[in-house]
Amino acid sequence: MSSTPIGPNKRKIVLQLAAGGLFGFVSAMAVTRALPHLDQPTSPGAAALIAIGLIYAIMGLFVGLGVAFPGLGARLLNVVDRDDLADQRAILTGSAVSCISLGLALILLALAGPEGQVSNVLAIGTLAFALILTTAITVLQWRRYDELMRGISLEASAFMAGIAFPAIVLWAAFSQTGLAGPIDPLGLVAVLAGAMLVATFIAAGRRGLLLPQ
Amino acid sequence: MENRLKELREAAGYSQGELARRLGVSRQTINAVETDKYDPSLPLALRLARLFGVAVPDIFIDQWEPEA
Repeated sequence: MSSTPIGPNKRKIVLQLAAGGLFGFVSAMAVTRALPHLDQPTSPGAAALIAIGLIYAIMGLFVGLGVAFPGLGARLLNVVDRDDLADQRAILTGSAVSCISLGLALILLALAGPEGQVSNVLAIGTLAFALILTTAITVLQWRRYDELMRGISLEASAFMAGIAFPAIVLWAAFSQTGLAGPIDPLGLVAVLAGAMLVATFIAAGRRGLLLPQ
Repeated sequence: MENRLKELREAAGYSQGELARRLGVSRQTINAVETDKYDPSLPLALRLARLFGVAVPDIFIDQWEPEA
């Protein structure tokens, strides 16, 4: 019996998937333990927002670790080598900071409220800080982007509208006709944040950025 | 759009990163053009043509024919 050798690209994909899965699992467990009531959100919208927030935060942590440790990052992130990682360092750092701050802010928002598990001031303060920080990073990054990244960014925004609009309209229609629960604010934020995530992956994938480098 | 960028780049002895640096774009942009995932802007196409000393239609192959 012969076995086909695994090429460098396939090895890298397997390593990225394994590391991503393990890192995601460990991070999710760590957050769940740090916030003991995380598994008892107040509404389905809050549960969805916690899940989306975790994805943002874990993605950001993963990229941030890759940037902080270039040797590891060159193997775990979708870059050619350390030089390629160094070229993208500023953009990746900005993305990591944005994702972590937004992810944490969304989680805290979901855990706040009249009977929430975190203080409303902390949740609102963190969210305001994350939004200001993300806006500032986006403006600074836009100046660094070349034409491909600008195109992807604009496409992602268009895809986001294309995903979020029908999702929200359908939810409203089902809610109005009694087929679904009412639209709640946290659910709405979860739909928008989730749509942005999916839209960004679609836009980047269309330009080949998700292919193994 | 189909193109000969990879062929021209390799003939000139540039890596994707080196070509990107010379053109002031990211390596991902060069990779996306070479793999037909992205059609560059007109200014970038003109810079590519100038760098390789060829005409734009020598790099990018458009199959379109005008209707009779």
